[in-house]
Amino acid sequence: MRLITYKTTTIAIVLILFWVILKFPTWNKENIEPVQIIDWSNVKDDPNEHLEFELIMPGDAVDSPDALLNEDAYAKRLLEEHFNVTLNYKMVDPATYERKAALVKASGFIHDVLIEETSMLKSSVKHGFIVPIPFEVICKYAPSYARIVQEWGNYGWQGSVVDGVNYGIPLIIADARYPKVGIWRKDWLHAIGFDRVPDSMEEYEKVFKLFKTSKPDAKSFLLAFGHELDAEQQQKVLDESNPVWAMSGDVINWRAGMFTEIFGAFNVQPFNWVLRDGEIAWGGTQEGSRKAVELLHSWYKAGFIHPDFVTDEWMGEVLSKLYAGVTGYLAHWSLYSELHPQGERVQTMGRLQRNRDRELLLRLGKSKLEADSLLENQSQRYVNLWSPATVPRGPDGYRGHRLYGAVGGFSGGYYAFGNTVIEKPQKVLRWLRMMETIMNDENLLINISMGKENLHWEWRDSELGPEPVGKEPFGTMSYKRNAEGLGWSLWHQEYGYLVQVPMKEFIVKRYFPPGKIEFRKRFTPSEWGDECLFGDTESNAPNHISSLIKRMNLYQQTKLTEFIVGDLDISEWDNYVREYNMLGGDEILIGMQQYYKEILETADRVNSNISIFEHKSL
Amino acid sequence: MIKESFSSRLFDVVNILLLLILSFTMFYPFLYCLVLSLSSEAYASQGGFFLYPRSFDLTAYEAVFSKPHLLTGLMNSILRVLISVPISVFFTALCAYPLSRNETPYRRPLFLFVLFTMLFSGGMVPIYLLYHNIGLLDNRLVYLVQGLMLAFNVILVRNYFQNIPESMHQAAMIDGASEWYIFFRIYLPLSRPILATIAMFQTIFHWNAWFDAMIYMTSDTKVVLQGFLQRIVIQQEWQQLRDIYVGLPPESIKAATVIITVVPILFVFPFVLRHFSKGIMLGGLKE
Amino acid sequence: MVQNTSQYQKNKVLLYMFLPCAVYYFIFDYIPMGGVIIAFKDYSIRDGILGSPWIGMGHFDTLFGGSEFLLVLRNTLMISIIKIICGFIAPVIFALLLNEIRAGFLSRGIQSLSLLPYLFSWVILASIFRLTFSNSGPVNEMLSLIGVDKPVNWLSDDVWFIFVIVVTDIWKGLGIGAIIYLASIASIPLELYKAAKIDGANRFQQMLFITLPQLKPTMITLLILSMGGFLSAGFDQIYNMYNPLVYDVADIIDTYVLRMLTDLNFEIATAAGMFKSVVAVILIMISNTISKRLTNGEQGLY
Repeated sequence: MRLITYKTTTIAIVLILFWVILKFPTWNKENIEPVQIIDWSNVKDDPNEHLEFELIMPGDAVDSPDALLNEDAYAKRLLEEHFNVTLNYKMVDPATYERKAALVKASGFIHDVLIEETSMLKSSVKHGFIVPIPFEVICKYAPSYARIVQEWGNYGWQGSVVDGVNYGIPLIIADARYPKVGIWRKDWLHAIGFDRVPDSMEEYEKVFKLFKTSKPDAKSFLLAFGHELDAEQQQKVLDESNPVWAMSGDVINWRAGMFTEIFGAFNVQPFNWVLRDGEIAWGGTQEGSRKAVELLHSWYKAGFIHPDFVTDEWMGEVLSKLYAGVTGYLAHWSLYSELHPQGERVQTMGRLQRNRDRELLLRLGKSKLEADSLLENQSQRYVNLWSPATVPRGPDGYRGHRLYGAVGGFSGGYYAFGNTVIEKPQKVLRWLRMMETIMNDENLLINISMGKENLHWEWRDSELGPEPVGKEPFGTMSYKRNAEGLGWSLWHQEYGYLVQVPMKEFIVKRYFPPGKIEFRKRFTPSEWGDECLFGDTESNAPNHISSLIKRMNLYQQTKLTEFIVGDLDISEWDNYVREYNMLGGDEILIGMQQYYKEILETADRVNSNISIFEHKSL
Repeated sequence: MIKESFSSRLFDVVNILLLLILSFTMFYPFLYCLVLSLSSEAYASQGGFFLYPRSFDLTAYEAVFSKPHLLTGLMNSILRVLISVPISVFFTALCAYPLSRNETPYRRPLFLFVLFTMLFSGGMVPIYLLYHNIGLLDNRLVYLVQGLMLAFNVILVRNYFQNIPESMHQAAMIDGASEWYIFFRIYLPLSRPILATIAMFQTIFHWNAWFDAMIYMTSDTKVVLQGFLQRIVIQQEWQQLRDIYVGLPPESIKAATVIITVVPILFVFPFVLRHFSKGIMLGGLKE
Repeated sequence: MVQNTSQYQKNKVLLYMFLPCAVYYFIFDYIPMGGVIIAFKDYSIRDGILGSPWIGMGHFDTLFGGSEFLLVLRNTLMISIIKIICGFIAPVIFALLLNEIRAGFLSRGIQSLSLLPYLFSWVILASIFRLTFSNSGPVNEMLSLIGVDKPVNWLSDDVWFIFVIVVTDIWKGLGIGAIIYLASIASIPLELYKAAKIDGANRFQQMLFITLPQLKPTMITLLILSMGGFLSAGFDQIYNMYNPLVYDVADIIDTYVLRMLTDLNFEIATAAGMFKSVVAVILIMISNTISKRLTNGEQGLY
């Protein structure tokens, strides 16, 4: 056999190449370029200089046909005139923002202003996409903004620090400070004899049981239309009624809030870090979690929890089950805005229920004309279908409901600046100034979030008191408002959309009807919110544990689901906790303790900066 | 006529039964989707086993068509197939021809050169960076480049060429024809079956490609239909539909999107059937 | 093949024909192969490929030292092996059974229908299966009709998910696989069957001893070819059908690479991809050699 064939030559070449590569692992580039440092002391932002910005951010409802930002969107024009800038926004749909933004950066286009979620920052820094922003600069040019960050979530500062250098401005989600409200089918409650919303855990159980056994959907229908039906038809309604459950859930997005009010009633949240006796502790392995899981398992066995909860998605199947009359309770529904009578979801639900009733009437033998007139008579029914839920009081008197981090957290993130600003660093100063100015100028803020009075909205009297209401053609439909650069819902307005700054409390109160303030006090007081110690920025914990955290969260999701469904017996809980700690829980704890220390240090650092600049005027 | 033994007949019956059940499973999932897409709100959420639609409600289709990207996706897919497939078939044949002629210099190393690309690949990252450097990112030309000259196809065509009688080539050479002429005027026309097969493979590949759209395109207007489907169903972006469709059961919307994507393929199906069996036999996996 | 200069001159034109193809392969296949050196560098876009510093085997250490990649590797191997074993036999059996049907229209009809799934991408099929295998979908509905009261979590349970993956993959490939085998079967001379029947063989035995051996060469070729995709385990299918609940069995090398790419962690992604390719090449070479040895040099890929 000939030795020198093509095959052997190629193999030889490849092997030699490999040997070369492995033998010299230290061919380092001598001049590793230092991190580009801008000399901020020499940068001046002249208001007369016109600056052009390229920005990228997750839009609200980007894929709706008309939601893309108009060329002359109202809010955009206002900002451009006021600050002598040109703003070119690239809106990306929020669901795939992380991946799309990564690909955009990798393909070479770096925007001036980016919204980076906490996990994206590190890789952006590594590839040199973004520039450092010292805390002094932020505090000097936006002191009151920095103060709010400090008050609402000082853990946020550390989230944009990489190797001791800061790269971002934490974004604030103002309404994240209030828990989301749950929802009950009011007509079902009425049909089973409850004239108010259940408040304690025992009452919840009682109601769930009645939902399961007494056909609330059919009864509610009969209460509305029974007087028009004969006995046989009424019986038919009862017999043919579909089975109902109390609720479904979303395991995959568990952190977002599945069963959170149940865990909260035992003074724990499975995906929160808390301080216990001055030490940080993980909620998922606490005794409270065991009790909550035990209760949930008994509910599952009793048939209160829909078996689809394992695969359902919160904003998808769970919601549509509620619409379709398959479930009657949904925790963590949304904020006040969703329950407003003019809100999109409420209107949708009413419409769908109306369609269902109509079909049933037709099936019972009514003619189309009869059915329609009956529905007309009962039109109140479709407005009164829903009632907000409180958060159940647990056996020891606790109430709780997981909050998102208000600062730099869950689907929030940070403003970062691309390396394109190196040529014109005054862009950063201008942007900071814009944020600070807007936040302190009530008129400007209202105009870029709610819109122009009497054009996009107007005052109207309602049962909740006088309140701002969307005006056509902009109305209340989110995509229309987004197209004008306005925030998506009028009753949800607590921040600017194109420039994300929060509304101060006193401004907000001015535009709230008294009814909403009442609502907030009664159903979503911030005392009932369980906030994680780290907001939602724990993905910025030390590198070696962030993937471990992801994996252990998934592990916990799976195991807790198994407990609830009954695949794992609750007596195995202690084993589970031990497994969890061994597989990664202990390691994570050590890492997070370190992270917590860093957070406190950074927060202190920023605090001293704020005090310097806070009471000076620019 | 010899009487069939009982066991033979039993075998027949069981066999046919099994295969019929199998055929039903081939076909039922599509039927289910069709039924789901036509169901009104009330029924779709209940789920269950359907054989026929209980209502005829086109709202789900309306909702899907209201998204602008559906039509652009469709256009992109059609363009992609119409342009990429003929070019790809041509170059595959062009590559196969020299490899099939014994007198080509360095024939064996060239063949290995091509074969090796089937075995080893740089991977996602180097390819992505290459496109980035050439400027193929966010550029519809990247669709053309995908699978332009798959080694597998080249081998199929090469085998077919080798089975064409040498006498044809010799006769043409005697008449003074150049290799180009022979290639274009003799081999290509004679190879219609295998070229049609390659065209079939490539059409299916290009029509079904979604991953390249997902990774290489950042503009929404350049995504192909399958990319659009992927976003709607797998990535749950159906939720971003217009307000009047919010509240449609997600199952219907997903099912409608699937059916819309499936229909064009069904049109092509008969042609596929006709060409497939012939093609594989002729290309031959016996070397 | 050695040629003298005048022959070479004459045949140069064939090389010119090949030239554009060579350029294509070089740019789009061979240059990326060179790109694997990223796996040995501390790569950042700012520094570029050539400018980034070397770190030797560092990334491979991370890859094999951490448990994440090993888990991913285990999943890939597990899924691949199951798929190859099951998916390899199924089309053969299908072809054999199909061949036994005497009614031409029936066998052609079934064969045509079985081709249908091949035409559809996994995006479509995964979407359909998500609907079909959901908790309230037809599969669970049928099960409840025959008495199974608890719905099976086909897509969110570790074990059932693998089951669904394998079964649907086989389902998709039955038609096209059968065509390949049927082509071979068609070339069997009928006298063999007649002779066997005279010798007293029943249909089953005829199938085993005449038809099946005829398929052996094709089977071997396909098996060797499938070695090339051994570490792929069907990314298309899995990516579209999996969800976080089954990550610990469904995460395969390619989904891992995709995640790394999204995190802009290029080096790990390249390292993992390179590992996959190298193993694939080695496997093909080994299986080809084995096959040649076993069949006395007759049967091989090249």
